[in-house]
Amino acid sequence: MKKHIYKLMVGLLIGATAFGVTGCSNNIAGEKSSVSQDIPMGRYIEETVDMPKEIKSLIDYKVNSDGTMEIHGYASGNQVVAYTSKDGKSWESKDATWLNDLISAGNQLSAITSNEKGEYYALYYNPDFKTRIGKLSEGNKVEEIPYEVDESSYISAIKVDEEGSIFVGMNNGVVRINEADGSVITEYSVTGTEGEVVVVDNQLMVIDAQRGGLVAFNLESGDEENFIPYEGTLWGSKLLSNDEGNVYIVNTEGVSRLAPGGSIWENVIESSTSSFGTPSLFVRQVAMKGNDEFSVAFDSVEGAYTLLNYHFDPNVPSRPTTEVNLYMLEDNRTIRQAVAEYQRQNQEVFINIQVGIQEGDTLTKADAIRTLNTQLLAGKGPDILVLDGLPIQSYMEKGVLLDMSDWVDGMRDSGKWLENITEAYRQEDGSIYALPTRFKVPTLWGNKELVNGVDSLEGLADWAKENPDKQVFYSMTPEELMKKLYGITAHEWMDETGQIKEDAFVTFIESINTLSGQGGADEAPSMNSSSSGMTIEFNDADDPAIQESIKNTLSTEYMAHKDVELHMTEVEAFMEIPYLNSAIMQRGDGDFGAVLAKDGGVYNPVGIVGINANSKNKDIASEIVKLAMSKEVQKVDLYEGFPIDKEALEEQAIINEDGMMAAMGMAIEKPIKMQPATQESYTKLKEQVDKLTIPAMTDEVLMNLIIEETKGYFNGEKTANEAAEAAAKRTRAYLAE
Amino acid sequence: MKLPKQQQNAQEPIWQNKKKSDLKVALCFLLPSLIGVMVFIFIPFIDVIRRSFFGAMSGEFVGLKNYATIFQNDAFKLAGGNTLKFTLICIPLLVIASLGLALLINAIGKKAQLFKMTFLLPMAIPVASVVLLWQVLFHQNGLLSRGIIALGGQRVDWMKTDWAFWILVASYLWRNIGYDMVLWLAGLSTISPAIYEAAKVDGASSWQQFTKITIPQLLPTLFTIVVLSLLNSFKVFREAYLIAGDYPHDSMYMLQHLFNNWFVSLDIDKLSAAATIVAGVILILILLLQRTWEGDED
Repeated sequence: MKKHIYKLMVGLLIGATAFGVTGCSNNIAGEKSSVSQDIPMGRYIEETVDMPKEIKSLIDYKVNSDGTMEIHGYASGNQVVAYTSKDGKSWESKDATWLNDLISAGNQLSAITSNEKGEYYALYYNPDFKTRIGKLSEGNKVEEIPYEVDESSYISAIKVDEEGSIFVGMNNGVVRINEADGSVITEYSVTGTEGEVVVVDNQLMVIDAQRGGLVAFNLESGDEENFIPYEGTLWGSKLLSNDEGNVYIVNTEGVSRLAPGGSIWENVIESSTSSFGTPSLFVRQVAMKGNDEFSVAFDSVEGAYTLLNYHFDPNVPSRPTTEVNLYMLEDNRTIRQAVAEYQRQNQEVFINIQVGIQEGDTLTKADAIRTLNTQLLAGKGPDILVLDGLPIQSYMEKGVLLDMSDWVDGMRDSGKWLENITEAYRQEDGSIYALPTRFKVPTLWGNKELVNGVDSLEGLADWAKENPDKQVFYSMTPEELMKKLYGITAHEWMDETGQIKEDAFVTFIESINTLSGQGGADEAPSMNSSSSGMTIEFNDADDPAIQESIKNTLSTEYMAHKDVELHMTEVEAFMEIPYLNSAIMQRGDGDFGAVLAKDGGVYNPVGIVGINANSKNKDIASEIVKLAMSKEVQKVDLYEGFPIDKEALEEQAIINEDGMMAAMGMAIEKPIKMQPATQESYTKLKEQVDKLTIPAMTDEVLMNLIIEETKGYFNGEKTANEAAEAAAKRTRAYLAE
Repeated sequence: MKLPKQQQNAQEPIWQNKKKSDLKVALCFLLPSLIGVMVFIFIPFIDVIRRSFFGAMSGEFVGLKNYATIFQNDAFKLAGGNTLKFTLICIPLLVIASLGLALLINAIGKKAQLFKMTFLLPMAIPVASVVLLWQVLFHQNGLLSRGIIALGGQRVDWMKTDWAFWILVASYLWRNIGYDMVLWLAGLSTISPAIYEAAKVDGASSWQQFTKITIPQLLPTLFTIVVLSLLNSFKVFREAYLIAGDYPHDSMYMLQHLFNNWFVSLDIDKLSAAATIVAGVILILILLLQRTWEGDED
């Protein structure tokens, strides 16, 4: 009997073990899921609608109950124009005289809205800069609604219903006013609103971005009846509802639906499979088309507008069957832009973006890389790799990456790219495994004698010694200065194998010591700012990124006022030039140039892409990489670096005549007189870009080891030679690996 | 003519039947664990050995090239040297110290419970807490540096000097001495007091009793302790990694650091070859020890 019980127990144990082992599925991302017979069907399809070309700036967009699209916007010369369209293919002009008359009377138009009855309302500032609400009445006249806005309040939006109620969204809540006499009917208390409201079944729904959800108020009493939390950011979100009582939130995460009486948000359109996830697009206005279609007007960073309609197609798979995986260690907007663009053009492909380290993650880079390497070793890695922060050299040597020379050579020969940048990873045998999609330029601004006359760090240090009464850089610790100069100067004190050349390294650290020793560097920059009499306090003073930003601004201000000779910064867009240029103009004897541009200059490649040699979707991956390098994506300035596409760079290097405004700046300690951007400065930077030849060293591990070993020298505990010897010894193990 | 099964079984001695039956049951109970070890450790290790003869990603057979590469690799030489040095210093020290403690505690008898607990406690402390303790003691602004400054000296970041190795040794000894002591005590408890009494009667001195009775009787325990201590010596990497990261001071740079970093740079070929060598060396060592023990037993 006992034997039988034993056997039963053993049998159960073996069974459980076998189940556990086989149950551990190898579900690593990168593995295409097998196509099953039962593919869920139905998804929203995106369709682009051409907007009227005359419209330069959008005022309002809506879809009427009969499906007609209606746009109001500014054309050239600040004229308001209006168009309607039934099918989105052709637009008919509509009268907008009432708005032009309003503007001609000295008012400033802020927004317009209308209700289902076709009654129009405008939000504007009168010549006395008071906020007013007006209604379009007979004779094309605007009748002012006698509603006085409190001076401390700011109206962000207005919405109207058929009963003549106007909902006024302000910074401190929403009020419902009577259009006849402007009296307040009901007040709804919300602090995090941007004025997005809808009325559903005697309830007013308001987005409260601060609380993180949707608040439902009783329409009549104004009492809060319900709060439905929403996961994700709500700032900039739009609100819609349909006749069935569904409520929709539309934002960069897509479209989410809340059923009547429900508390769960259902994602009906994902950002990963639509243009909602495009970094350059922002949701400007939305409208329902019928009960389940959407029409969205997007604003882009370039100032253009895109109109997209979404309709549900039950005959397409709910997710595209072709899945391509893309991996990036940290988020990269240019790549996301390319992905969104590609998906828009190829709706049958889904690109799954994996980010190794998300914001707020405690995962280290090394851990994220190990996880990726596990996938690569299993032969199931992502199809496309964004190589920033990854061991590129190792991947190239191990054959992880695909040789792209077959099509890259053609692009190079066509002259479309900045060859001095894109050829950074060309191998001796002609193969090319990695391509940078953008680059940044380390620059010096300030004393022209130093910018143009000194081409080495040693030279700067010598100048500092000869001019002890002058300070070269704004206060920086040796570590901060070393971090800024490490990548730029590494090629001078490191040999080809990466070993430190001790003599050259001694010169390097002695120069750093001289230059950083000039100011009292260790204190954090001032956390209070006064500009035009206003005191601004920085609440996130401990955030290193904010600290860095403050120091950068102070460095520019000090340089402008000649308190320091030079300001060093990495420029990533032409839009940064006006502020910096204003600083050197104020200085009087200022100029700018690439840092220590002895050998042509150093640049920092970013968004480096490669294709997995084991990818089963090499063709699609190549298309995506080509798109990322094309003018279409490159022309969008995402403040991640300059484009490598020559045409895109040239276009960005030309000042937009319409937008030639004085640079805006907020002073922390010493105001800078802002000047309009000059074409000369843009052209000069572009010319410098053409001469850049040396990619900056980006090995963080090596940099940190060197910083650790040189601390003793900067603290006075070691000599420069001892520090150099220690650094060389410490890095030997790392380099020997 | 074939006998019926009952009569066949009746031919075999009963004890053999029972032994076979017990063996089958034992195997069945061992099977789940064995399957687990095979699937998660043994088979992957066979794969590692296989990978040591191939390129990292290309899958191209390279023969012994990876092995030749690692023996010429300075980082491997440094890490291997440090690991060997650590093992050769720590194991004998640990064995002798823990034996000494065990003998003392054995001599005290039941009153030694508190001491036993005290020595075992370090093993129960989480690694992260140990690292915190190191920081408090050995950081350049830690207690040790403060003490030295108070005596007129200069502060030192101990973990960035050659002292780092000795701190690692001390930490290893401190954490493992209690465990080995308990193993020694278990071994000591198996020695019959009658043997000591007989030896006393024969006029043997304490030293003679120790060398002629205690040590030979403890040889099996010695084998177990040496093997376990050797395996535990690799765990010291956890403290070293938490306090000093991927690239500690040269004196603390161990094989696991190297393997860890090779994985990040996808040098799987070198990693596999080095791991195979290390496993081989440990296996040979254990077999040699076992043979020595068996030889001594005989």
